[in-house]
Amino acid sequence: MKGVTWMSGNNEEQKTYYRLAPCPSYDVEGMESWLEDLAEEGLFLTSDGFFCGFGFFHKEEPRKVKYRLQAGETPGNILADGDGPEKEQREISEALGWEFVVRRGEFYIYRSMREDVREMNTDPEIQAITMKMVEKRQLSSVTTCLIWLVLYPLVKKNGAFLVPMLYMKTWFYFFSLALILYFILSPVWKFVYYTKLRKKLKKGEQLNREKDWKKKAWIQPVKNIIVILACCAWGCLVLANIHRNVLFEDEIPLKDYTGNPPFATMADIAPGKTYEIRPMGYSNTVVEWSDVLAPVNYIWEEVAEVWVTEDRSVYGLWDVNYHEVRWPWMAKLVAKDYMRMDKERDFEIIGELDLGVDYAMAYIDDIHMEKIVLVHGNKVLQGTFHEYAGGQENYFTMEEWAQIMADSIK
Amino acid sequence: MPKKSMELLTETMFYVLMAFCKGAMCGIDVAEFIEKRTKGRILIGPATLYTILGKFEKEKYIVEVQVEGRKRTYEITEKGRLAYTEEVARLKQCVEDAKAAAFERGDLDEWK
Repeated sequence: MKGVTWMSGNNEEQKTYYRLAPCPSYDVEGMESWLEDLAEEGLFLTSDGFFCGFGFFHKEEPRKVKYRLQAGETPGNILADGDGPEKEQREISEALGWEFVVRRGEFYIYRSMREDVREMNTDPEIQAITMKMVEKRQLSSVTTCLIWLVLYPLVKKNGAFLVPMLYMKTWFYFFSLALILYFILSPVWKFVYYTKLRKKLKKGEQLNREKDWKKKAWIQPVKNIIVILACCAWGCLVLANIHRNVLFEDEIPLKDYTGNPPFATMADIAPGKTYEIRPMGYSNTVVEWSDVLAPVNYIWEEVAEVWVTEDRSVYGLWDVNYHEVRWPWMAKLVAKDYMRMDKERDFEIIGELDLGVDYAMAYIDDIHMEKIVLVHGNKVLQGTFHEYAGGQENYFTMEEWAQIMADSIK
Repeated sequence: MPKKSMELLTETMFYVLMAFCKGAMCGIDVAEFIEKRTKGRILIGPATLYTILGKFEKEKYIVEVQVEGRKRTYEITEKGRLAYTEEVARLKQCVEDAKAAAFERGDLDEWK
């Protein structure tokens, strides 16, 4: 593959060649072997290093050179490979025949054009000490990933994961989970590799510089391409979702909605009576969607007024989150998830209600709203009714409006 | 009782301390000293040397005394000197024990 033409230090034009690394950055033996093989073909790694798995090379007279990877003093990171070695380290290396080329990941890459040059590492036990340092950094990465990608989201949602999964769609949830697992398992894999390498060095064994990198050369590039494409796709999906949310594209105004929701709405609290939606600016919408684990889902937000008698109206907020999941046991778990998500500072359980459904629990959420979660078969409903009574006593007690909701899902 | 990690000096570490016992030096001087002293038997690698210097500085066996451009000069501390003399004593004892064992076997050819 040919690439960009650039001007070298002595103003001679040199083309840059790109080669996809056949092994991961942490495969010390594979990387050294591969770079040395490329040098015998006339390709020499430049100080531009690597980008997205592609190495930058110049073409020169083919010859035997030695490449060695040396663990870096400071951690590399995913965005930039980090700094080069300390000045003293470079001074000593150059005096003893080794030039620093570039950093890749956790390792500095050194090169020597001299066949009789002494090795970078002449004491395997000492080399094992630097590998231990890299191992510790990797363990720290694993811990960080576990905390931020797994524990933090769970703690934030008080351990709820089913409801967030239904809201973001199960397929997207598992797609995200697969990426999370990859980013957690990646440092774990590296940690295991470094541990094996360190133990090998501690036994006094030398690294295998003749490692056959060609054997599984297709795996790394294919893996890189899949990961890059998956991350791009994930990013596009997230942006598209944000865009939809900002523009409220999924929300249908209730005044335009012609569907028939499978649960009670405010109009059902006094059937046949005068009913009027009250515009609130942010409410009176319905979102409806289907999911592989829950074919029917609704988010219903309604502010309306119903004239229950000639001289009495009921004006309030009627919110329902409704799901028909695949299995009754899942319905119970979803109901528990809703309660977990509301479990903040002032959360309080009121108690189980006898409404003629499989499960009915009432509680007060963190903003002092009375809420219920109902389960009947594979149906789950989380609902709230907040009456704006304007100083009067509420027309409905909690048990009454809860019964209306429960009757609608039986 | 098992020895702790810094109590066990590898051969290379021992020679690095030996170099500093001669006087303050920078890393390259240490490499040259070891090569001359061992008549080329030990050629310390740059990565090995740099790691040992870092470890010795951390353990306060050596201390930096001068920086000139990219060169850092170190000198040995009392702690480093003590570690060196202890290692010399240990190695002497090993040689004495080996001599005694050979004498018991009646095999003194290797000591001629």
